[in-house]
Amino acid sequence: MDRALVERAQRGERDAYEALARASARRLYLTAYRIVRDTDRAEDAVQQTLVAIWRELPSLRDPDRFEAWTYRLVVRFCLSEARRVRRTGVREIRLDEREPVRTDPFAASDLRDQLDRALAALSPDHRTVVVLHHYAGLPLGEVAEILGVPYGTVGSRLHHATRALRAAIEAGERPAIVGGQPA
Amino acid sequence: MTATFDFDRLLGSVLEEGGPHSLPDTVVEAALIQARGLPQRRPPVGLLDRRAWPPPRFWLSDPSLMRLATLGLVIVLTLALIAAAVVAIGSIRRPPEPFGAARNGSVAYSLGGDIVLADPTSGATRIVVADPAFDHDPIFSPDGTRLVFWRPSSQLAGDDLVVTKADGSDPITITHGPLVEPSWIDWAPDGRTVVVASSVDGQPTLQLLDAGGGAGRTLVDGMAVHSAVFRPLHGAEILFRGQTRDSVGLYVMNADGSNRRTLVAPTTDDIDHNLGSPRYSPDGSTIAYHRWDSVLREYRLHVMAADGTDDRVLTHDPRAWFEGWPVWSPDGTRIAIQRMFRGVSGELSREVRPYAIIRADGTGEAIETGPPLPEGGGRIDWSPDGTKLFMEPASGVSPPLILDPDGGPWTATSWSTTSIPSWQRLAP
Repeated sequence: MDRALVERAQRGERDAYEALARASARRLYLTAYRIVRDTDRAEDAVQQTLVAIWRELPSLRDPDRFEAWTYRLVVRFCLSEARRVRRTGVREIRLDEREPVRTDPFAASDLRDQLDRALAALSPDHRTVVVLHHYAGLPLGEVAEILGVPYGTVGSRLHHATRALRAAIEAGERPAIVGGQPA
Repeated sequence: MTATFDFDRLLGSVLEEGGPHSLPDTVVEAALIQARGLPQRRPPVGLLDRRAWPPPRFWLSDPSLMRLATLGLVIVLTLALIAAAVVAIGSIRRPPEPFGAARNGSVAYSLGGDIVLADPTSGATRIVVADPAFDHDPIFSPDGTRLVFWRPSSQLAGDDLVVTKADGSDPITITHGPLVEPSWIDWAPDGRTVVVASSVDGQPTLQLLDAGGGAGRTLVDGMAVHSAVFRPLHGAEILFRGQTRDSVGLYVMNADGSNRRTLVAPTTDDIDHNLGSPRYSPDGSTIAYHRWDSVLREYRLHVMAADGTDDRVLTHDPRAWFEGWPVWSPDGTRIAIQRMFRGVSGELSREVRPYAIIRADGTGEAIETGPPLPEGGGRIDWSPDGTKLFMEPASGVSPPLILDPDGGPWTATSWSTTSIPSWQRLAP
């Protein structure tokens, strides 16, 4: 990311901000979707993040940390969305849970489907660590800085999440929800 | 089966290929438009920062400046005295009763990490907490004088709870260590304590916290609590929905956690959704909740006495396979519920009907109000005076709506939120 562009946006130059926003939007959206696993919520989180980038950019001390800083913003909006849904107590009644006939979950499911389901079953906090490290390619130290948690906490979450994911595809069993409450 | 695959590579591939690959342009354009109407937030220059003040010799060298400065000081002191008098007079206003109808005050919500108060009539908004931390989900105390909200812990994973006055001043952190994955919070009727469900050392926990920052206590351990409400009018009991790995039940206990009793025996049926949203009537005599009927394969709205007796279906529309998420009106005469009807062939439909207002005695027809809800439904709350309903779609993609419980037109608010709004109760 162009440091000069960030500095110009920090000084209030809107064209610089808009260029940053357009350049960052897709990256943030793809990350947000993989955390919240819902296109509407991911779009919502990204829109809020882009607005927050404009408002909060003057507080960014090191313009070279712009990208990591935007990850921090979008993760916070994603996790806020996840917590908000839990607190409403309004949860979608899943129709497929009410169907009397169930397909055999172990039949003809390839590893990719199993792993995708296992990812969905992770708590938002654990899934965020997996997404930032394995999808966004961020080292654990940077993930810790983005999440505002100790390095050991990130390592612990990643360890537990990875173990749950491995167990799901190696044993073919539906994974237990790692941490937190079901949404 | 022995897995012979590269896990990291597979995980990376699944992450890479899962989900959409492009963001609609409208999202970016909407954000840019919204940003154009907002100022940037500049880091403040502290009062102790030399840059905030010109050097003393600047003030002392010019007599006219000295006179102006003196006049300015007198004006500031006078205004401060007037403001103090206004605050003093305002502080002796009688607070509302913790339950029942009250006068409508402001609406509190969070947006972008700030705590905001909105006037639901005029639409005017003002930020009352603008801490650098990402504050969220404010809730007014029953007497309308304070707010409680979440603030990410600066040191460890999890969130702290902060209590402020209704104007956002005088913050107090009331948690003694960050709470991980909080899932429920509610004020006691007297506003002295707050009950909160979260995870501690990986175990679900329900705690009672002192709203003044004093010591708290654990009420329930090892059972996930998705709602916990104090019983009107005295708040001496807490009704909660307790879920273990295998079952869910409804329980009541004293407010100190003692004397836990079962109101609805634990069931293994659909533990994620069954026995949902248990709520006391405003007079504390009746509990409403929804329950899965495994024979009819439907969710029905139930009521029972506060001691768990006389449990019955309140009312039922034969078209509905889901009737639930009850919210009592402040005067206890009506209940707002969500419904889902069967399709033309009797199949379970995903479409969430508009909210339905039913009489608390189960008589009469339901009145629908507001638009059909998006998938996932929404969250609704009555205005303190009972004349309006505040509805926020669960998807969060449209602004909150103000609904008419008598089925009249609804209006959209002019503001968007990132939390469930909380309506301030004021004395009539």
